[in-house]
Amino acid sequence: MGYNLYRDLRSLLPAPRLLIGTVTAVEAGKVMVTLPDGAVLSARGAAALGSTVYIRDGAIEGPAPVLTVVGIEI
Amino acid sequence: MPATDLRFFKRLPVTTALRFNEVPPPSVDIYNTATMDATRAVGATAAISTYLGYLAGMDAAIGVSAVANLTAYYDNSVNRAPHLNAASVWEVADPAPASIAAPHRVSAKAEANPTPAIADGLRVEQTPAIAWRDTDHSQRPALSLPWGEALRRAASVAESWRDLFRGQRPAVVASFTEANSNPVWLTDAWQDRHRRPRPALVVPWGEGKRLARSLTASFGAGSPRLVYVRVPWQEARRPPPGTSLHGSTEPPGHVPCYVPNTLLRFWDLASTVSLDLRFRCPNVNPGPGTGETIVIPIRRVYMQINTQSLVLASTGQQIMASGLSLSIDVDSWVWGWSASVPGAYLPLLQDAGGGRVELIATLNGTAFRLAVESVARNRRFGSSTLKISGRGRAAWLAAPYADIVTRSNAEAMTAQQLLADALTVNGVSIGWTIDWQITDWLVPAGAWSHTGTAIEAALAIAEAGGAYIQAHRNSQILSVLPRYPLPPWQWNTLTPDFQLPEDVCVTEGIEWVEKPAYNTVFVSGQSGGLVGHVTVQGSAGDKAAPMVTDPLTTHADAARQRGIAVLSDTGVQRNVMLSLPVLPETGIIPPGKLVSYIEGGRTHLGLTRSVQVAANFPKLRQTIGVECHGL
Repeated sequence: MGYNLYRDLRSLLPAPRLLIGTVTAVEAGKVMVTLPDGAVLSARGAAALGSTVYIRDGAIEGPAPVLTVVGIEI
Repeated sequence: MPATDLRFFKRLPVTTALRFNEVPPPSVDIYNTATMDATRAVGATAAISTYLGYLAGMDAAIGVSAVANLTAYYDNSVNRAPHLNAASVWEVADPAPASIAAPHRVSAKAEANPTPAIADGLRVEQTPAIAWRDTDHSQRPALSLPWGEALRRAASVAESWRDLFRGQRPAVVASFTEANSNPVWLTDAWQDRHRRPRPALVVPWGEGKRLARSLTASFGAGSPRLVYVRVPWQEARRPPPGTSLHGSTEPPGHVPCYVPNTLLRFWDLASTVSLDLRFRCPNVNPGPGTGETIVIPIRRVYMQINTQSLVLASTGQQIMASGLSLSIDVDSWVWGWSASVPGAYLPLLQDAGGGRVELIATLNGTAFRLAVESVARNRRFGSSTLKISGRGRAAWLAAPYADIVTRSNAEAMTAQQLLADALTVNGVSIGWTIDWQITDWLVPAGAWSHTGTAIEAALAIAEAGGAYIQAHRNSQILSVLPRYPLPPWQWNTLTPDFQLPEDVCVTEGIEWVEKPAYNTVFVSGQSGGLVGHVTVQGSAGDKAAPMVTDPLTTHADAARQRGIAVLSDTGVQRNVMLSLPVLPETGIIPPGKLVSYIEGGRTHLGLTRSVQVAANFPKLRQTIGVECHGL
């Protein structure tokens, strides 16, 4: 048990994250999206090949801008 | 004709013989020309005289123009033989002009022809010679075929088919007779070509002559210049004996705590049990791990006299409470509290006008400003108790008291300015100030859009920077503290705020928690900004935490602080719960302090994450949760 019960309850509930990825393959009814860390997931919806999209809970929310990647070491 | 010349027509030989009456030959011309100037004659007269011999031809000449009184003397005793004058072999040399001459004269400056060290080589004549000459056609041997032409035999017309009698099989007729073999000698259609004498191997270029070349450098070796290094500080020494005045020993750049002005800044509210006035130094804002360590000594007995009071903030009326409890942690931005009071206080704790009721709880001199949000009454025979609870006064910034406002930035602002803007209503401050303790960053115009209460906006801003919000316990101050001021593997470089021995702790509980050992994370902006690929230094960066997207990730500082917060909460952790009295040295230890807890010879270094204060007069205990990393 942690310090905050509300936080523990939130961790139990599904909280789909908002992801940004690049469409690397388009198939019937779904697209394959590659995340910046190299992971590939399939998302529902339609998007153009090579475009950057928002994904939440396995569905494409819309187009996303192409952002500059900055390497930071801590 | 006037003339001064004495002309003698005949030279007498030099002899010792005396000659007399020798008449010179008559010549009118001689006489005419033998004239003498009168003036000269005076001088000449005195010089010329003779006693012996004669002067031939002189009488007539002198008589013309002047009185000639010439006398010639001839001394016979003089040796007139040819002789050498006594002379020195060396004559006196004239002194050479003494001119200051250098032993060496200045030589004329030779022309420095920049010539290469190697002269052009002479090209050696070479006749293009071909090692092979054409073959004479005449030397080619005649083509001779080893076989002569065969004669074609007459082909007799024969029937193509016969009966299959073996004897009647037609002879096999060859079209050509066997050729006679010509005499064969070893011939070849081609002969070898005569090889001419191979020309000597010549190199078209001879060896170059080395030319002398003087290297003239335009710059000589530089002479070192004296550079005086001036040190503004001299070496310190003990003050000399006697009384002397010295300058200020304040190091430059240090701003003293007390700045003379007319403002009196109180740190705490006036305590009801102490007469001390606590002033606040405006320049002291120590972050975790930067101040001095408060060391709790090991004692045989810890004597503690606790004080506790609960009063109404509006009137100061005392409320006799029992079981007062307060708690806060990093994920709670405000203190929560609960207490049990007698039921007779119900009219005081409920404002009939719908206003807000606030209480002031003072525990060992530490004041808390509390908002009464919930009142519950329990009655039974002979007793009536009220269970009251609520949050700190920062609760007025949250639902259900604060309005839900949509905020955005029409122009570029820093994150701190965004938070300050969230604490205003129509541009007017609502009385809250910000204690910003993380690195600020710039948020471009339009990147910030939020709908919610003021504290929700503050939490969103703080979360983007890897920070959390802590409301001050009694002042209207929102502190934005980094969730991890440094990653856990760098905590040993910090100075602990508190050093607690196990002797002072009443109870101790350690819980080991294992979390994924992420070492890299992508922190991305949304509509703008950047993607920060935050990696633990020295790691492979192969275990990526789930991606974090935040519209306020618009600067590398924001991504870095958020990445530290994500990547620090990894690996094996220890949640150490320590229960200890509220000592005068420590007070109530709030979250975010670096605590070194020494137990059994082992030191647990961690950040406090929560604190619960249980006041049940005369007991007063605080239980702090410390997040340590590692097994």
